[in-house]
Amino acid sequence: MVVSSKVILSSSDAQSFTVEKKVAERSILLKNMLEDIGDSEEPIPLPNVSGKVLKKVIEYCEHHKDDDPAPAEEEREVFDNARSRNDEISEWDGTFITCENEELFEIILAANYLDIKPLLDLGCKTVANMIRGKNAEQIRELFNIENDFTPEEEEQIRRENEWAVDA
Amino acid sequence: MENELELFLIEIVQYFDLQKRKSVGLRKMATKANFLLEQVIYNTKPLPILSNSNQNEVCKVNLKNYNVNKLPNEILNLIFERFKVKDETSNFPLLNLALVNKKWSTVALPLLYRDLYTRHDSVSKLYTLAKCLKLNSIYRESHTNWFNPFISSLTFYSTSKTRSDLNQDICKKLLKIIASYAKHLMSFILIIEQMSGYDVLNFNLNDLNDLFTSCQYITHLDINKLTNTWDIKPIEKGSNLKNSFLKLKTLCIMSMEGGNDEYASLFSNFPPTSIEVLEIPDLTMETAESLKDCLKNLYSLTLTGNLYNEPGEFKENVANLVFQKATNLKKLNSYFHLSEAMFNIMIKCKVSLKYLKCTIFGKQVDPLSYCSWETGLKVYFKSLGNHLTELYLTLIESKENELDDSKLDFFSNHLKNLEIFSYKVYKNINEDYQEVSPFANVSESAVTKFCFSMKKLKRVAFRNKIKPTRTDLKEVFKSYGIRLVDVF
Repeated sequence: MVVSSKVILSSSDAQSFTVEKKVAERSILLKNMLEDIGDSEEPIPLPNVSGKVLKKVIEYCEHHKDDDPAPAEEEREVFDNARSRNDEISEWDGTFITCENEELFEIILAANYLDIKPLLDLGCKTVANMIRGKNAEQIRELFNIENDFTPEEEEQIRRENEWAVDA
Repeated sequence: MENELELFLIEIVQYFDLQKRKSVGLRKMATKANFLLEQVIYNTKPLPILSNSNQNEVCKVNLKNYNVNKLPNEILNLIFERFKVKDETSNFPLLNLALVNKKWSTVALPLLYRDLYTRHDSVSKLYTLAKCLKLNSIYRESHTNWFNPFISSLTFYSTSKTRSDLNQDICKKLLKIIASYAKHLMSFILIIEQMSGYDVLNFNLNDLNDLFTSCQYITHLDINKLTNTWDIKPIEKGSNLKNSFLKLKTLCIMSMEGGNDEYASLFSNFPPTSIEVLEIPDLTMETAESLKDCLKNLYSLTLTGNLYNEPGEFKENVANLVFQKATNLKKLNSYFHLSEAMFNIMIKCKVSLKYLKCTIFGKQVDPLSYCSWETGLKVYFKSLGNHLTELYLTLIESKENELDDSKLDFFSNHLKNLEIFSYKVYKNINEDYQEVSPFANVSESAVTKFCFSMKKLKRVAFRNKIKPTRTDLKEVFKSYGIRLVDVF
């Protein structure tokens, strides 16, 4: 629904959020959708995002509404050549993304679904930073993941990639 | 039954591998076992690794890990890509990830092999890698996919800081075996680092030719030769090096100790239409002459050490040749030694540099110092700036480099995109410098004048970790249709 540059988003649990069009357009999915459907009074259903997560995503988009849009491929190449890959997280983003694991993964999934690359990057960076420096057992413990390898299969992975173990 | 046989043979190979140093007889048996294993591998079903042996088991998942298991492989791939193949905190973190569970394994292992990094100072380590590639299920079961092709990039790091059992011939044969598994190789990076008194891999032009023959899709070649003993024997008769390099688009050459003869030999073998992107730190007249035919086809040139023999001694003739011949140059990256002398040459050659649209000065590890503003950039912006639409500056974070009213006058009004990043370097890391907001020392009237004169400017970006740009100035930029962006 578009009323004076406002858009209504409807979450999977039927919660409605009215946001500025500019904020909604941080999502490439919504941006394309709004271009396709034009002005409409209907709320936009987002069946893959719960109200709780959508609220967080909107908070992120509000804060970053004046940022650069994601660069085109060609621009990105120039940028990548000029700069080293940046793994830093700004203070606001760091505070924003500090949450329970479950919520963090929900945000990543939502960012992927809504096609919000900077938020997806932020989520991936955060998970990568949580994993960094940990061994497999510590990672399993961190995310409560069950080890579904048999001892033989685990040994086989080590054996087949032995070069990487002691390199 | 077949799987059991394979596993049995693998056990034998492993046993003999462990014992192989003990006697020649055992070594022979190890070789035979390896041969038998290979026969079995290529004539029977793949090993059960990563097959769904637990397919019928109900995956025990509790609520806490509900989401991590639900993350699709594409997202896990994005997360895992953030790990360098080898980083400082752990040897090969991707292998750790592969050992977490089967799902993670299917994502991490192709990444481990996509950008293969091999650090070898001995034959035994190379042998281990070659053996692993023979055994590897990832390769045989084609678990790779379009975004993770099997060995798309190979970095070969040969160092001799420690005592080694390096045997040149065996080492090169093993490298050939590794290359035979890298049919989709697009990028080859060779880093040779030698300490005096130790052997190092002598990878010469013929070896390069062999590699290009075996891996015909290589488009990026990066040679970091930190030794002065590179073999520069002429190419063997019958080998056609020029054809090998036809697909090459990007060439990066780095050398710590001169090596201009090798460059000249290498460059004289390039067909004139091959290279589009060139990174070379140490251009001399000789190498520039060899490159002459290629230079006119360049669209991107990176100079990192560049046009100086000694501080103050400027290679004017080289600069003249390069900038006169590089008539299709669209992008120039220069990471240090920006001086008035260099820019004066460029200005003299500005007719040749008519396509130069984008310049990148400085990078995070080599930011520009203050003197670059006064001696180089000021001249450059005013004189060559008519062609320039994009400018990326990375500066040392210091009081002298902060923008002020006078610096705003430097910029060419043809710019469409301007980025200024600042970074601390080791020299000033202990200085009591407080980061300030971009434009903190610029008057509003100067900003207004700047925005008014920059008719084509659409975007200005600053990297500033702590202080955002003043809100009042953002409004001024906005009123002139210029997007002002703080990059964190």
